[in-house]
Amino acid sequence: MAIQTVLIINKSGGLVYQRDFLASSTKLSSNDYLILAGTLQGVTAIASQVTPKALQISGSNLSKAANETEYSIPYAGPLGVKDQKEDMGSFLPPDYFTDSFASWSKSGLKHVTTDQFSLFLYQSMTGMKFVAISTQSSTSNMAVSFAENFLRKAYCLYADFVMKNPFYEPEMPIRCELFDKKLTEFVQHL
Amino acid sequence: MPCYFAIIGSRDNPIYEAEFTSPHLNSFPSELKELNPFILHASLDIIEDLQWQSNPQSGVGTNTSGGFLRSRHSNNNDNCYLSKIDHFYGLAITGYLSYGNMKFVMIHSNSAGNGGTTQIDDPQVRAFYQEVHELYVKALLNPFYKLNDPITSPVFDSKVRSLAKKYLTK
Amino acid sequence: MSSGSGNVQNGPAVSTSSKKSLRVFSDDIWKNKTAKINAELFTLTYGSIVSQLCTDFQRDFNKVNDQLFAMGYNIGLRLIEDFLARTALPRCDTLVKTSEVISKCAFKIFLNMTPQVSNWSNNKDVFSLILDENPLSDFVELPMDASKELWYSNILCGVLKGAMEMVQLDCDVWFVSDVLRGDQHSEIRVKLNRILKDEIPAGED
Repeated sequence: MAIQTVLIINKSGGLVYQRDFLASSTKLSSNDYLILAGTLQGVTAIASQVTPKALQISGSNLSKAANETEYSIPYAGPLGVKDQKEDMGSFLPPDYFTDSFASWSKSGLKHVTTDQFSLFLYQSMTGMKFVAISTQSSTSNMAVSFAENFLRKAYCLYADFVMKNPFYEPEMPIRCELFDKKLTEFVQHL
Repeated sequence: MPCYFAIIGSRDNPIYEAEFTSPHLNSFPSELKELNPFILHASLDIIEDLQWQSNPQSGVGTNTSGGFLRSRHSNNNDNCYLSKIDHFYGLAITGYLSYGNMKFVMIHSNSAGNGGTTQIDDPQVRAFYQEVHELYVKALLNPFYKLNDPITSPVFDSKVRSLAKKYLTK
Repeated sequence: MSSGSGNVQNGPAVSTSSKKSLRVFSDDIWKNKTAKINAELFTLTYGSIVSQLCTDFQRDFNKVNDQLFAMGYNIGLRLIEDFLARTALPRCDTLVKTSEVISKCAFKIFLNMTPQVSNWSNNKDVFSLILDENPLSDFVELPMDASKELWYSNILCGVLKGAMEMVQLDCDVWFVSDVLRGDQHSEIRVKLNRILKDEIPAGED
């Protein structure tokens, strides 16, 4: 699975970051990307609204344990982390995290698949959305959890190199060279 | 024996002074009390002379651990203590020099107060200076304290006094 | 390292799927995942900021408090992302759980300390964090004129406020006592005003 594009969408649905990693044949204009971001935001909201009420109620009635396993994403290995000596910002090597973790979005949009590509979406509790578009159609659970692992690591990079950059204004488009560099390295070592 | 202790900043400005007496000891005679700061300041020149000698304590002969200009690889602060550096009509004056060029100086008078020679108990005095030095470093870490400002903290004062009780005016 | 804070609408309790206790979970993050700096460097850096603010505001300590709070608020807005990225804890469903996450997880990860949570109000919307130690105020003695007005570690309140706001908890956070002022212990009070339901991202139930 090759990552073609990574998008970051802020909590109000604005596109704050977009980067292509492959010279793909289909280039969207920046305006199209903005529309895509807004659409994803809207679809996520709708998805959680069309979740059958019955499911929501039974979900909240289930025991905690059942709930947790259901939404827990297994740890998928070091992914793009090269070796133990790598500089990982404020995180100590060998990896950003080594545990399974819960997904914050229980009824929101998570992935979209066509025959040509897959789109994965990871949402943070603050409402930031991290989107990865990959070049192959994958529907397996493994691919999904792999993608969530990847995107959570992208979130770690974002926390370090964007949020901790004192000159970055929250909610604004991300123009941080360091973040670009780290994310590119990360994607290329996948 | 009563003692008069002062810390002199790097610009030769006094930043702390204290007199250590105890009920069963004579204190300084009042006419001498006023002279104390002058006596101390007179000895600062001697400290400055000693400071640049390679072996300031050679005169004392008890310690051969090298001069103040020591190697940066040695991490003891033995040679901060200069022992007895001066005397004034039977009063003994000891000094201690921190690496930040803060001068700790003290006048010791003998308990009889009769002008006889005052004996210095070097190990005790050295220990006193070293602990005061540590207190001073802690005071320096206080963000509200500026280098070379007078130390007004009552905590510092009471700690120094209890050290004096422990080492000097027993 | 910086102070951190919390989580979420009524915060997460037990770490995610693995059934480790919050304490073990946070210990692990602190020990194995967090880059650290020299404590004196940190303490002195904060100290010089506070004392410079006192000079800049002509010793108007109320303004200094406000300024520290504002600085903390901005830190909190950013730091919460780091906290969430590190822990990925699920949303807490009561303020009791939030308070646990703040004390056992956030303070642990960012300051390596675990304040006690106590003094709950009857309807469980106000609680206190009792700080037994405070790495910000090692070595500090307040000057006489500041000891009645200055909340030396007020930046912590700002951080908590900012971070909680980002996870849709509108809170008031303030110091009620500080050992630097001669009090028995340092106490931070946290009051939940309301949950910003409109801002909870879609997809969370």
